[in-house]
Amino acid sequence: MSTKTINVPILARVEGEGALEIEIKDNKIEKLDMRIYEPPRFYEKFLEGRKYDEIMDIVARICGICPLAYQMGAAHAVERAFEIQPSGWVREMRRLFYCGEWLQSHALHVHLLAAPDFLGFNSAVEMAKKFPAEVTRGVRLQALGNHVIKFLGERSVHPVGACVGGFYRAPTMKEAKVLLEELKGSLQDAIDMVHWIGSVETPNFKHDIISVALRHENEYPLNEGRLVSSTGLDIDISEFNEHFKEEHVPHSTSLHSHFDGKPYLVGPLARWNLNHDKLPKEVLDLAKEVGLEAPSQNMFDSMLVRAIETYYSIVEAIRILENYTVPAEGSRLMDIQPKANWGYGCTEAPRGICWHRYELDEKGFVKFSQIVPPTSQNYARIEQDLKQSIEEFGLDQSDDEMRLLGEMIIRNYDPCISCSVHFLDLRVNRS
Amino acid sequence: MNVIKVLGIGSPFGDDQIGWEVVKELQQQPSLVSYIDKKLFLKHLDRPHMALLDEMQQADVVFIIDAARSNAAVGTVHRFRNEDIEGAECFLSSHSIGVIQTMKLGKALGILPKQIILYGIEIGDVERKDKLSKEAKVAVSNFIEQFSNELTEYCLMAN
Repeated sequence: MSTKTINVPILARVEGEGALEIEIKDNKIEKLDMRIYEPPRFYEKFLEGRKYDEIMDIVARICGICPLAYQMGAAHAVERAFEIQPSGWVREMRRLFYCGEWLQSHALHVHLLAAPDFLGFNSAVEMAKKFPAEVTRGVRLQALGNHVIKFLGERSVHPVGACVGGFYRAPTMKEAKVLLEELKGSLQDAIDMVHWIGSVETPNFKHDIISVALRHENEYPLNEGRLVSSTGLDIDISEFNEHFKEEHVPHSTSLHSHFDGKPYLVGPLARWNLNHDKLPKEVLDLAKEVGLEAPSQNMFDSMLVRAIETYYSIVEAIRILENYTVPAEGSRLMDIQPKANWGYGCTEAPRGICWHRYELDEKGFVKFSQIVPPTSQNYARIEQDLKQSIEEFGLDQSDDEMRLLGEMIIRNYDPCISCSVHFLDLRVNRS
Repeated sequence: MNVIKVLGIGSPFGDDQIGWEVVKELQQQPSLVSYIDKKLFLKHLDRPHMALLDEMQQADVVFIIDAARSNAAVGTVHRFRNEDIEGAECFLSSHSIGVIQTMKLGKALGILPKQIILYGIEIGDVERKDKLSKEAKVAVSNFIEQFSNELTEYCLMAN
C-alpha cells in the first residue's frame, strides 16, 4: 500500500486565498479538498436592518472585480419586492453597464491570470516580455471595460452611479459619443483576442458537466431570465432554493452548492452551452471560425468563451450606444413606495449566476438576506473536475506536474474566493 | 514635460486613506491652485489594480502616493523613482495585484511614463475605522509641506 500527499499551500493568480490538498492511496485519489481559509465576511447579516437604498453600496463592496453583479442582483430584487418596473432606458443602460463588467473581468482573467498557464509562464509579467502586444491589448480591453462602467457608475471600482429604480444621472450625448467611438475602435482588439486564444493549445478533458445559467427569450443573458440547466430545469429565479442547496464543508469557509444533489457549473461555458443560439450572427461566425463547439463539455474551452463574450460585450455595447438618448422621463424612478415583501434577483456575473433574496418590511428595511455568489456554486464542480482531470492525467505524474495541472484547473474557473467568503496552497499525500 | 499627475491610492480603511488625504490637501495648496486641471491633475484611486496603468497614460510625470508598512516609525516617507520602484517591498496589495506588480507589468510592456515617483508614507495597523489616526494626520501635514514645494517646481518647469 502506498500513500502520497500533494499540497499546494497558496494558489496564485486567483482572486483570494485558498489551498489544495490531495491524498492518493493505491494510485487512486482518496481525498481531495480545496481549502478556502479566508474568513467569512457576514455580508448577509450586515444587511439586516439596513434600508433598501443602502443595499447597493454595501453589496458592491463584496467584490472589487465584479461589484456590478451584486448591485444589479440587489436592484432587481428590491424592485421585484416593491413591484416596480424601471423604464426601458434603465433596462438598456443596465445591460450596457454589465457589458463593461464582463469586458474588464474577462480581459483581466484571459490575459493576465489564465493565459500564462497555457503558454508556459509563471506570471503575466514574464509573459508580457514575450507577448507584449497581446498583454498590452488585454490591458487596453480591461481599461475599456472600466470606461464603460465609469460612464454609468461614475467610477470603475465599487461604482456609485446605480440605484434602485435606475441611475442617479444620465450621461450626456457627448459622453455617449466619446464612449461609442472608443468601443468601435476596440472591436478589432477583441477579434484579435479571440483568434489568439483560439490558437493557444489547451488541455482537452471532456466531462459530463451540468451547466446552469439564465436564459432569456430574446437575448444573451445578463440581467434577466429564467434559470435553466442542461438537464432540463426551467424555473423562475424565485424557485432557486427548491433545487439548489448550499452546505458547509469542514475544509472550507465557503459554502458549497449542489443542484438536486449534484455538482454543477455556472459561468461563461455554462452560459455558452445554454445560450449560444442567442448570440448575434457575427459573434457566432467568429466562434465557428475558431472552432468553438456548442455545447462544449471541455472546461478548458472556458477561456475561449470568455474571449467570445468579450467580443460580444463590445458588439452589444455599440448596439446600445448607437441608440442612446438622454431620457426625457429621467434616469430613475423617483417615487418608490416600499412594500413588505420578498424580492429575488439573479444576474449573470462574469463568473456565473449571482442570486439574491431579500425580505423587506413595509418601510423598506431588510429583515433577511441571502446572496449566493457564482464561485461558491462552482466549488463542488471544481473539486469534481480536479479529481476527474488529475486521475485522467495520471497519478504517476510528478508532484510538480500535478500541482501545475491543479492550479490550472482552478484558475480556469476564474474563482473569486473573496466573493465566496479568496487562492492555492497544493498538498498531495500519497500512501 | 506637459502633464503631471498625482495619484493618491488607498482604501476606506483607517490610515490606508493616507494617499487620498494627501490629494485632498494638495487641492487646497495656494501654490498649486493655478496649475490644477491645466498642467497638474490630482486624483484619488481606490485600489485600482491594473487600472493604474490606464490612469498613468498621457502623463509625463506621475507621482503615486500610497500607504507603506515596513516597521519604520509612522510618518516615515519612502521615496522611489523609476527602476527603484520594483524593489520596494513596503506597499500593501489586494489580490496580489498592487502598485509594485502593476509597475512591473507596465515596465515589461514599455507603457510607463518617463518619470514615476512613488512616495510611501508609513502607517500603523490598517484598522477598520472611518477616519485617519492623529499620527497619520501629522504625517500628511509634514509630507505636504515638503511635497508641495517639489510639485510646484515641477509645475514651473512644465511647458
